[in-house]
Amino acid sequence: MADDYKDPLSLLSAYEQGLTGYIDSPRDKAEFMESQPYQYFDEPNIKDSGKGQRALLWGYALKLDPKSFSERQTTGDCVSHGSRNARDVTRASAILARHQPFDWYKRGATEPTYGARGHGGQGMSPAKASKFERDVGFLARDRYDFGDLSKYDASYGIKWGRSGVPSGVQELCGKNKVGRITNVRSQGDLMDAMVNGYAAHSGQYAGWNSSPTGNIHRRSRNAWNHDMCICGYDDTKSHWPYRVWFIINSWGAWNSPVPDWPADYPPQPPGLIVTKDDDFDVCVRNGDCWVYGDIDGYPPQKLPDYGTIGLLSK
Amino acid sequence: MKNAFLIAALIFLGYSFLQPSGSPVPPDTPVVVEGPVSIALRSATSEDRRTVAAVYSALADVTERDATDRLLGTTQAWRSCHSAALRLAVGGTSLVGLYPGLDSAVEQVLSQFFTLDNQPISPELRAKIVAGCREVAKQSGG
Repeated sequence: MADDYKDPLSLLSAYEQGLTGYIDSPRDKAEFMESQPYQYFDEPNIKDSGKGQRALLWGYALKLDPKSFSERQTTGDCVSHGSRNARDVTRASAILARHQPFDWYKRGATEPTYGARGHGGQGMSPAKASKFERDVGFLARDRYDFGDLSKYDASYGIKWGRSGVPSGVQELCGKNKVGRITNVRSQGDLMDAMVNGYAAHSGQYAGWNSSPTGNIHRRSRNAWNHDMCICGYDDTKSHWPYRVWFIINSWGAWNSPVPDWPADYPPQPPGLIVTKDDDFDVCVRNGDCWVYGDIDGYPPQKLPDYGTIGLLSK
Repeated sequence: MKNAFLIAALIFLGYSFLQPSGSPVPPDTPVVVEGPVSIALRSATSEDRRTVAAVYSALADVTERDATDRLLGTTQAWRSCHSAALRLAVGGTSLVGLYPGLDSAVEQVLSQFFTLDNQPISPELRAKIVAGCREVAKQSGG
Protein backbone atom coordinates (compact mmCIF):
# COMPACT_ATOMS: atom_id res chain seq x y z
CA MET A 1 0.00 0.00 0.00
CA ALA A 2 1.34 3.39 -0.95
CA ASP A 3 1.93 5.49 2.12
CA ASP A 4 3.83 8.59 1.19
CA TYR A 5 2.26 10.48 4.06
CA LYS A 6 2.21 8.67 7.37
CA ASP A 7 -0.10 10.92 9.36
CA PRO A 8 -2.35 13.96 9.07
CA LEU A 9 0.41 16.41 9.91
CA SER A 10 2.71 15.09 7.19
CA LEU A 11 -0.14 15.68 4.73
CA LEU A 12 -0.65 19.20 6.03
CA SER A 13 3.05 19.85 5.72
CA ALA A 14 3.22 18.41 2.20
CA TYR A 15 0.33 20.52 0.97
CA GLU A 16 1.78 23.62 2.59
CA GLN A 17 5.05 22.91 0.83
CA GLY A 18 3.39 22.71 -2.55
CA LEU A 19 2.06 19.21 -3.10
CA THR A 20 -0.39 19.56 -5.94
CA GLY A 21 -3.39 17.42 -5.15
CA TYR A 22 -5.82 19.71 -6.96
CA ILE A 23 -4.83 20.62 -10.50
CA ASP A 24 -6.48 23.74 -11.88
CA SER A 25 -7.09 22.82 -15.51
CA PRO A 26 -9.28 25.22 -17.50
CA ARG A 27 -8.89 22.86 -20.46
CA ASP A 28 -10.30 19.83 -18.59
CA LYS A 29 -13.07 21.99 -17.23
CA ALA A 30 -14.05 23.37 -20.64
CA GLU A 31 -13.89 19.93 -22.19
CA PHE A 32 -16.15 18.44 -19.52
CA MET A 33 -18.65 21.26 -19.50
CA GLU A 34 -18.93 21.39 -23.27
CA SER A 35 -19.66 17.67 -23.34
CA GLN A 36 -23.01 18.02 -21.58
CA PRO A 37 -26.10 20.12 -22.15
CA TYR A 38 -26.35 21.37 -18.56
CA GLN A 39 -23.21 23.06 -17.37
CA TYR A 40 -24.07 25.03 -14.26
CA PHE A 41 -26.26 24.21 -11.29
CA ASP A 42 -29.20 26.40 -12.18
CA GLU A 43 -32.54 25.01 -11.09
CA PRO A 44 -35.33 27.62 -11.25
CA ASN A 45 -37.79 25.33 -9.47
CA ILE A 46 -35.76 25.29 -6.27
CA LYS A 47 -34.24 28.75 -6.53
CA ASP A 48 -33.64 30.27 -3.07
CA SER A 49 -34.96 27.16 -1.33
CA GLY A 50 -31.72 26.91 0.64
CA LYS A 51 -31.68 30.44 1.98
CA GLY A 52 -32.11 30.62 5.75
CA GLN A 53 -32.07 26.82 5.95
CA ARG A 54 -29.51 24.24 6.91
CA ALA A 55 -28.40 20.95 5.36
CA LEU A 56 -26.30 18.61 7.49
CA LEU A 57 -25.85 16.03 4.78
CA TRP A 58 -22.84 14.23 6.22
CA GLY A 59 -25.15 12.91 8.95
CA TYR A 60 -26.94 10.73 6.40
CA ALA A 61 -23.69 9.12 5.33
CA LEU A 62 -22.73 8.53 8.97
CA LYS A 63 -26.06 6.79 9.59
CA LEU A 64 -25.42 4.31 6.79
CA ASP A 65 -21.67 4.02 7.29
CA PRO A 66 -20.57 5.16 10.76
CA LYS A 67 -16.95 5.12 9.62
CA SER A 68 -17.56 7.40 6.66
CA PHE A 69 -14.84 10.01 6.20
CA SER A 70 -12.34 7.97 8.21
CA GLU A 71 -10.06 7.28 5.25
CA ARG A 72 -6.86 9.31 5.22
CA GLN A 73 -5.33 9.89 1.82
CA THR A 74 -1.78 8.61 1.43
CA THR A 75 -0.89 10.30 -1.85
CA GLY A 76 -1.99 13.35 -3.80
CA ASP A 77 -5.40 11.86 -4.59
CA CYS A 78 -7.54 14.39 -2.73
CA VAL A 79 -9.78 14.97 -5.76
CA SER A 80 -10.86 11.34 -5.77
CA HIS A 81 -11.55 11.51 -2.02
CA GLY A 82 -13.49 14.75 -2.40
CA SER A 83 -15.56 13.37 -5.27
CA ARG A 84 -16.12 10.02 -3.55
CA ASN A 85 -17.31 11.75 -0.40
CA ALA A 86 -19.63 13.98 -2.42
CA ARG A 87 -20.97 10.90 -4.20
CA ASP A 88 -21.51 8.99 -1.00
CA VAL A 89 -23.13 11.89 0.83
CA THR A 90 -25.48 12.45 -2.11
CA ARG A 91 -26.28 8.71 -2.25
CA ALA A 92 -26.99 8.59 1.47
CA SER A 93 -29.22 11.66 1.25
CA ALA A 94 -31.10 10.12 -1.67
CA ILE A 95 -31.82 7.01 0.38
CA LEU A 96 -32.63 8.55 3.75
CA ALA A 97 -33.97 12.01 2.90
CA ARG A 98 -35.43 11.53 -0.57
CA HIS A 99 -36.47 7.89 0.01
CA GLN A 100 -35.13 6.61 -3.28
CA PRO A 101 -35.36 2.83 -3.56
CA PHE A 102 -31.66 2.07 -3.39
CA ASP A 103 -29.44 0.20 -1.01
CA TRP A 104 -26.41 1.93 0.46
CA TYR A 105 -24.44 -1.24 -0.23
CA LYS A 106 -20.94 0.02 0.57
CA ARG A 107 -18.75 3.08 0.71
CA GLY A 108 -17.43 4.25 -2.65
CA ALA A 109 -13.89 3.62 -3.81
CA THR A 110 -11.46 6.35 -4.80
CA GLU A 111 -8.88 4.40 -6.81
CA PRO A 112 -10.43 4.16 -10.31
CA THR A 113 -11.21 7.88 -10.31
CA TYR A 114 -7.67 8.78 -9.36
CA GLY A 115 -6.33 6.27 -11.87
CA ALA A 116 -8.10 8.24 -14.61
CA ARG A 117 -6.05 11.42 -14.07
CA GLY A 118 -4.11 10.87 -17.29
CA HIS A 119 -0.53 11.16 -16.03
CA GLY A 120 1.88 9.38 -13.75
CA GLY A 121 2.43 12.22 -11.29
CA GLN A 122 0.34 13.34 -8.35
CA GLY A 123 -2.81 15.41 -8.50
CA MET A 124 -5.90 15.63 -10.66
CA SER A 125 -8.35 18.17 -11.97
CA PRO A 126 -11.91 17.85 -10.62
CA ALA A 127 -13.30 18.02 -14.15
CA LYS A 128 -11.26 14.98 -15.13
CA ALA A 129 -12.71 13.09 -12.16
CA SER A 130 -16.20 14.24 -13.09
CA LYS A 131 -15.80 13.07 -16.66
CA PHE A 132 -14.67 9.63 -15.56
CA GLU A 133 -17.49 9.21 -13.04
CA ARG A 134 -20.11 10.43 -15.50
CA ASP A 135 -18.89 8.49 -18.55
CA VAL A 136 -17.23 5.42 -17.05
CA GLY A 137 -18.60 5.19 -13.51
CA PHE A 138 -17.36 4.24 -10.09
CA LEU A 139 -16.86 1.26 -7.80
CA ALA A 140 -17.73 0.40 -4.22
CA ARG A 141 -15.25 -0.60 -1.55
CA ASP A 142 -15.31 -4.30 -2.38
CA ARG A 143 -13.12 -7.20 -3.44
CA TYR A 144 -12.83 -7.65 -7.18
CA ASP A 145 -11.07 -10.16 -9.39
CA PHE A 146 -8.46 -7.57 -10.33
CA GLY A 147 -7.71 -6.68 -6.69
CA ASP A 148 -8.93 -5.76 -3.25
CA LEU A 149 -10.56 -2.33 -2.98
CA SER A 150 -12.41 -3.20 0.22
CA LYS A 151 -9.84 -1.02 1.96
CA TYR A 152 -8.30 2.14 0.59
CA ASP A 153 -5.13 1.33 -1.32
CA ALA A 154 -3.69 4.30 -3.18
CA SER A 155 -1.26 2.11 -5.11
CA TYR A 156 -3.97 1.16 -7.65
CA GLY A 157 -4.68 4.75 -8.56
CA ILE A 158 -0.99 5.57 -8.59
CA LYS A 159 -0.09 2.79 -11.01
CA TRP A 160 -3.07 3.38 -13.34
CA GLY A 161 -2.21 7.05 -13.75
CA ARG A 162 0.17 6.64 -16.64
CA SER A 163 -1.38 3.60 -18.34
CA GLY A 164 -5.02 4.44 -17.67
CA VAL A 165 -7.65 2.44 -15.80
CA PRO A 166 -7.70 -1.12 -17.22
CA SER A 167 -10.63 -1.85 -19.50
CA GLY A 168 -11.88 -4.65 -17.23
CA VAL A 169 -12.02 -2.24 -14.30
CA GLN A 170 -13.76 0.35 -16.44
CA GLU A 171 -16.34 -2.24 -17.37
CA LEU A 172 -17.02 -2.93 -13.70
CA CYS A 173 -17.30 0.81 -13.05
CA GLY A 174 -20.02 1.04 -15.71
CA LYS A 175 -22.66 -0.41 -13.39
CA ASN A 176 -22.79 2.83 -11.40
CA LYS A 177 -22.46 6.29 -12.86
CA VAL A 178 -23.02 9.84 -11.75
CA GLY A 179 -25.66 11.11 -14.13
CA ARG A 180 -25.39 14.80 -13.43
CA ILE A 181 -22.41 16.82 -12.28
CA THR A 182 -22.76 20.56 -12.60
CA ASN A 183 -20.59 23.53 -11.79
CA VAL A 184 -21.69 25.89 -9.04
CA ARG A 185 -21.29 29.64 -9.39
CA SER A 186 -22.59 31.04 -6.11
CA GLN A 187 -23.13 30.18 -2.47
CA GLY A 188 -26.87 30.70 -3.05
CA ASP A 189 -26.93 28.03 -5.75
CA LEU A 190 -24.88 25.69 -3.58
CA MET A 191 -27.30 26.14 -0.68
CA ASP A 192 -30.18 25.31 -3.04
CA ALA A 193 -28.38 22.16 -4.10
CA MET A 194 -27.52 21.06 -0.58
CA VAL A 195 -30.90 21.67 0.99
CA ASN A 196 -32.26 19.38 -1.73
CA GLY A 197 -29.78 16.66 -0.83
CA TYR A 198 -26.93 17.18 -3.29
CA ALA A 199 -23.38 17.35 -1.95
CA ALA A 200 -20.41 18.92 -3.71
CA HIS A 201 -16.66 19.01 -3.79
CA SER A 202 -14.34 21.78 -4.78
CA GLY A 203 -10.72 22.33 -5.64
CA GLN A 204 -9.00 25.58 -4.74
CA TYR A 205 -5.78 27.16 -3.62
CA ALA A 206 -6.68 27.96 0.00
CA GLY A 207 -5.90 26.67 3.47
CA TRP A 208 -7.48 26.75 6.88
CA ASN A 209 -6.03 26.96 10.37
CA SER A 210 -5.90 23.74 12.33
CA SER A 211 -7.04 25.47 15.54
CA PRO A 212 -10.43 27.12 15.72
CA THR A 213 -10.85 30.83 16.25
CA GLY A 214 -13.88 31.13 18.47
CA ASN A 215 -16.25 28.56 17.07
CA ILE A 216 -15.01 28.37 13.46
CA HIS A 217 -11.88 27.57 11.50
CA ARG A 218 -10.47 30.63 9.76
CA ARG A 219 -8.50 30.71 6.53
CA SER A 220 -4.75 30.47 7.04
CA ARG A 221 -1.94 32.28 5.25
CA ASN A 222 -0.64 28.96 3.99
CA ALA A 223 -2.62 27.76 1.03
CA TRP A 224 -3.09 24.27 -0.35
CA ASN A 225 -3.81 23.02 -3.86
CA HIS A 226 -6.49 20.82 -2.43
CA ASP A 227 -9.89 19.32 -3.11
CA MET A 228 -12.43 18.60 -0.36
CA CYS A 229 -16.06 17.59 -0.02
CA ILE A 230 -18.62 20.21 0.96
CA CYS A 231 -21.06 18.26 3.08
CA GLY A 232 -23.36 20.84 4.62
CA TYR A 233 -24.13 24.39 5.67
CA ASP A 234 -26.15 26.28 8.24
CA ASP A 235 -27.76 29.55 7.23
CA THR A 236 -30.27 29.62 10.08
CA LYS A 237 -27.95 31.81 12.17
CA SER A 238 -29.34 30.15 15.28
CA HIS A 239 -26.09 28.65 16.58
CA TRP A 240 -23.56 30.60 14.57
CA PRO A 241 -24.66 34.22 13.98
CA TYR A 242 -23.61 33.95 10.36
CA ARG A 243 -23.72 31.35 7.60
CA VAL A 244 -21.24 28.52 8.08
CA TRP A 245 -20.17 25.78 5.71
CA PHE A 246 -18.94 22.31 6.63
CA ILE A 247 -16.04 20.87 4.67
CA ILE A 248 -14.76 17.32 5.01
CA ASN A 249 -11.02 16.98 4.66
CA SER A 250 -9.40 13.67 3.73
CA TRP A 251 -6.38 13.96 6.00
CA GLY A 252 -7.83 12.29 9.08
CA ALA A 253 -7.82 14.19 12.38
CA TRP A 254 -5.54 17.02 11.25
CA ASN A 255 -7.24 19.84 13.19
CA SER A 256 -8.95 20.61 16.47
CA PRO A 257 -12.74 20.45 16.33
CA VAL A 258 -14.73 23.60 17.05
CA PRO A 259 -15.50 23.70 20.78
CA ASP A 260 -19.20 24.50 20.76
CA TRP A 261 -21.03 21.93 18.66
CA PRO A 262 -24.86 22.04 18.48
CA ALA A 263 -26.46 19.21 20.40
CA ASP A 264 -28.90 18.35 17.61
CA TYR A 265 -26.17 18.01 14.99
CA PRO A 266 -24.66 14.77 13.70
CA PRO A 267 -21.17 14.12 15.10
CA GLN A 268 -18.19 15.99 13.67
CA PRO A 269 -16.22 13.76 11.32
CA PRO A 270 -12.45 13.77 11.91
CA GLY A 271 -10.82 16.80 10.31
CA LEU A 272 -14.09 18.66 9.64
CA ILE A 273 -13.60 22.31 8.75
CA VAL A 274 -16.28 24.71 9.98
CA THR A 275 -15.86 27.89 8.00
CA LYS A 276 -17.61 31.23 7.78
CA ASP A 277 -19.17 32.25 4.47
CA ASP A 278 -16.56 34.88 3.67
CA ASP A 279 -13.70 32.42 4.09
CA PHE A 280 -15.63 29.74 2.24
CA ASP A 281 -16.33 31.87 -0.80
CA VAL A 282 -13.04 30.89 -2.45
CA CYS A 283 -14.40 27.34 -2.85
CA VAL A 284 -17.13 28.62 -5.17
CA ARG A 285 -15.39 31.64 -6.65
CA ASN A 286 -12.47 29.55 -7.89
CA GLY A 287 -14.78 27.93 -10.44
CA ASP A 288 -14.04 24.30 -9.59
CA CYS A 289 -16.97 23.51 -7.32
CA TRP A 290 -19.09 20.58 -8.54
CA VAL A 291 -22.48 19.39 -7.37
CA TYR A 292 -23.20 15.66 -7.59
CA GLY A 293 -26.73 14.60 -8.42
CA ASP A 294 -28.62 11.78 -10.06
CA ILE A 295 -26.33 8.94 -9.05
CA ASP A 296 -27.07 5.40 -10.19
CA GLY A 297 -27.59 3.75 -6.85
CA TYR A 298 -27.22 0.13 -5.89
CA PRO A 299 -30.42 -1.87 -6.32
CA PRO A 300 -31.63 -3.49 -3.13
CA GLN A 301 -30.23 -6.94 -2.41
CA LYS A 302 -33.45 -8.01 -0.74
CA LEU A 303 -36.91 -6.80 -1.60
CA PRO A 304 -38.96 -5.52 1.34
CA ASP A 305 -41.92 -7.61 0.17
CA TYR A 306 -43.46 -8.92 -3.05
CA GLY A 307 -45.35 -5.68 -3.61
CA THR A 308 -48.69 -6.53 -2.01
CA ILE A 309 -48.33 -5.09 1.48
CA GLY A 310 -50.67 -2.19 2.13
CA LEU A 311 -52.36 -2.45 -1.25
CA LEU A 312 -54.95 -5.12 -0.49
CA SER A 313 -55.34 -4.82 3.26
CA LYS A 314 -55.10 -1.66 5.32
CA MET B 1 -91.99 -32.61 -38.24
CA LYS B 2 -93.53 -34.90 -35.64
CA ASN B 3 -90.52 -37.17 -36.03
CA ALA B 4 -88.11 -34.23 -35.40
CA PHE B 5 -89.73 -33.30 -32.04
CA LEU B 6 -89.74 -36.97 -31.12
CA ILE B 7 -86.06 -37.29 -31.90
CA ALA B 8 -85.25 -34.10 -29.90
CA ALA B 9 -87.22 -35.27 -26.90
CA LEU B 10 -85.51 -38.64 -26.99
CA ILE B 11 -82.13 -36.96 -27.10
CA PHE B 12 -83.02 -34.61 -24.15
CA LEU B 13 -84.38 -37.62 -22.24
CA GLY B 14 -81.22 -39.58 -22.92
CA TYR B 15 -79.01 -36.61 -21.96
CA SER B 16 -80.87 -36.18 -18.69
CA PHE B 17 -80.24 -39.77 -17.82
CA LEU B 18 -76.56 -39.30 -18.53
CA GLN B 19 -76.21 -36.33 -16.05
CA PRO B 20 -74.74 -37.25 -12.66
CA SER B 21 -77.07 -37.19 -9.73
CA GLY B 22 -77.39 -34.00 -7.68
CA SER B 23 -77.24 -30.42 -8.98
CA PRO B 24 -75.19 -29.95 -12.13
CA VAL B 25 -71.95 -27.82 -11.96
CA PRO B 26 -71.99 -24.99 -14.47
CA PRO B 27 -68.81 -25.04 -16.56
CA ASP B 28 -67.67 -21.50 -15.46
CA THR B 29 -67.85 -22.12 -11.74
CA PRO B 30 -64.30 -21.82 -10.37
CA VAL B 31 -62.70 -24.49 -8.29
CA VAL B 32 -61.28 -22.88 -5.16
CA VAL B 33 -57.94 -24.28 -4.07
CA GLU B 34 -57.43 -24.23 -0.32
CA GLY B 35 -54.61 -22.06 0.99
CA PRO B 36 -53.80 -18.77 2.75
CA VAL B 37 -55.55 -16.65 0.11
CA SER B 38 -58.74 -18.71 0.09
CA ILE B 39 -58.81 -18.50 3.90
CA ALA B 40 -58.37 -14.72 3.78
CA LEU B 41 -61.15 -14.51 1.19
CA ARG B 42 -63.52 -16.84 3.06
CA SER B 43 -66.11 -14.12 3.55
CA ALA B 44 -65.57 -12.59 0.13
CA THR B 45 -68.26 -12.06 -2.43
CA SER B 46 -67.87 -13.96 -5.66
CA GLU B 47 -67.28 -10.65 -7.44
CA ASP B 48 -64.35 -9.77 -5.17
CA ARG B 49 -62.94 -13.26 -5.61
CA ARG B 50 -63.17 -12.87 -9.35
CA THR B 51 -61.45 -9.48 -9.17
CA VAL B 52 -58.50 -10.80 -7.21
CA ALA B 53 -58.26 -13.88 -9.37
CA ALA B 54 -58.37 -11.79 -12.54
CA VAL B 55 -55.55 -9.55 -11.33
CA TYR B 56 -53.23 -12.47 -10.59
CA SER B 57 -54.23 -14.40 -13.66
CA ALA B 58 -53.44 -11.36 -15.79
CA LEU B 59 -50.20 -10.77 -13.90
CA ALA B 60 -49.18 -14.34 -14.62
CA ASP B 61 -49.93 -13.83 -18.31
CA VAL B 62 -48.01 -10.56 -18.45
CA THR B 63 -45.03 -12.06 -16.66
CA GLU B 64 -45.06 -15.03 -18.99
CA ARG B 65 -45.24 -12.84 -22.09
CA ASP B 66 -42.33 -10.72 -20.87
CA ALA B 67 -39.99 -13.58 -21.70
CA THR B 68 -39.52 -11.95 -25.09
CA ASP B 69 -39.69 -8.24 -24.24
CA ARG B 70 -37.74 -8.44 -20.98
CA LEU B 71 -39.31 -5.33 -19.50
CA LEU B 72 -39.27 -7.05 -16.12
CA GLY B 73 -35.59 -7.83 -15.89
CA THR B 74 -35.31 -8.24 -12.13
CA THR B 75 -37.53 -9.25 -9.25
CA GLN B 76 -37.40 -5.61 -8.14
CA ALA B 77 -38.90 -4.57 -11.49
CA TRP B 78 -41.51 -7.31 -11.17
CA ARG B 79 -42.37 -6.12 -7.66
CA SER B 80 -42.94 -2.60 -9.00
CA CYS B 81 -45.16 -3.98 -11.76
CA HIS B 82 -47.08 -6.05 -9.20
CA SER B 83 -47.66 -3.04 -6.94
CA ALA B 84 -48.68 -0.86 -9.87
CA ALA B 85 -51.09 -3.52 -11.10
CA LEU B 86 -52.75 -3.71 -7.68
CA ARG B 87 -53.01 0.06 -7.44
CA LEU B 88 -54.59 0.27 -10.87
CA ALA B 89 -56.90 -2.70 -10.42
CA VAL B 90 -58.19 -2.31 -6.88
CA GLY B 91 -56.72 0.91 -5.49
CA GLY B 92 -59.48 3.13 -4.15
CA THR B 93 -62.13 0.39 -4.37
CA SER B 94 -64.07 -1.04 -1.46
CA LEU B 95 -62.12 -4.27 -1.75
CA VAL B 96 -59.03 -2.72 -0.16
CA GLY B 97 -59.13 -3.40 3.55
CA LEU B 98 -62.27 -5.53 3.39
CA TYR B 99 -60.42 -8.79 3.92
CA PRO B 100 -57.87 -8.52 6.73
CA GLY B 101 -54.67 -10.42 6.08
CA LEU B 102 -55.24 -10.74 2.34
CA ASP B 103 -52.00 -8.96 1.47
CA SER B 104 -49.97 -11.15 3.83
CA ALA B 105 -51.72 -14.23 2.47
CA VAL B 106 -50.73 -13.33 -1.09
CA GLU B 107 -47.16 -12.71 0.06
CA GLN B 108 -47.17 -16.09 1.79
CA VAL B 109 -48.28 -17.89 -1.34
CA LEU B 110 -45.74 -16.11 -3.53
CA SER B 111 -42.98 -16.92 -1.03
CA GLN B 112 -43.66 -20.61 -1.63
CA PHE B 113 -42.56 -20.12 -5.23
CA PHE B 114 -39.68 -17.61 -5.12
CA THR B 115 -37.59 -15.67 -2.61
CA LEU B 116 -37.29 -11.96 -1.87
CA ASP B 117 -33.78 -11.84 -3.33
CA ASN B 118 -33.48 -9.06 -5.84
CA GLN B 119 -32.10 -10.91 -8.82
CA PRO B 120 -32.33 -11.11 -12.59
CA ILE B 121 -35.37 -13.03 -13.79
CA SER B 122 -34.13 -16.16 -15.54
CA PRO B 123 -36.52 -18.42 -17.51
CA GLU B 124 -36.68 -20.76 -14.49
CA LEU B 125 -37.44 -17.93 -12.08
CA ARG B 126 -40.03 -16.52 -14.49
CA ALA B 127 -41.81 -19.88 -14.48
CA LYS B 128 -41.86 -19.84 -10.67
CA ILE B 129 -43.28 -16.31 -10.54
CA VAL B 130 -45.96 -17.26 -13.08
CA ALA B 131 -46.79 -20.37 -11.06
CA GLY B 132 -47.03 -18.27 -7.89
CA CYS B 133 -49.44 -15.84 -9.52
CA ARG B 134 -51.57 -18.67 -10.88
CA GLU B 135 -51.70 -20.24 -7.44
CA VAL B 136 -52.97 -16.96 -5.96
CA ALA B 137 -55.57 -16.83 -8.73
CA LYS B 138 -56.65 -20.40 -8.01
CA GLN B 139 -56.91 -19.78 -4.27
CA SER B 140 -59.00 -16.70 -5.07
CA GLY B 141 -61.35 -18.89 -7.03
CA GLY B 142 -60.16 -18.04 -10.50
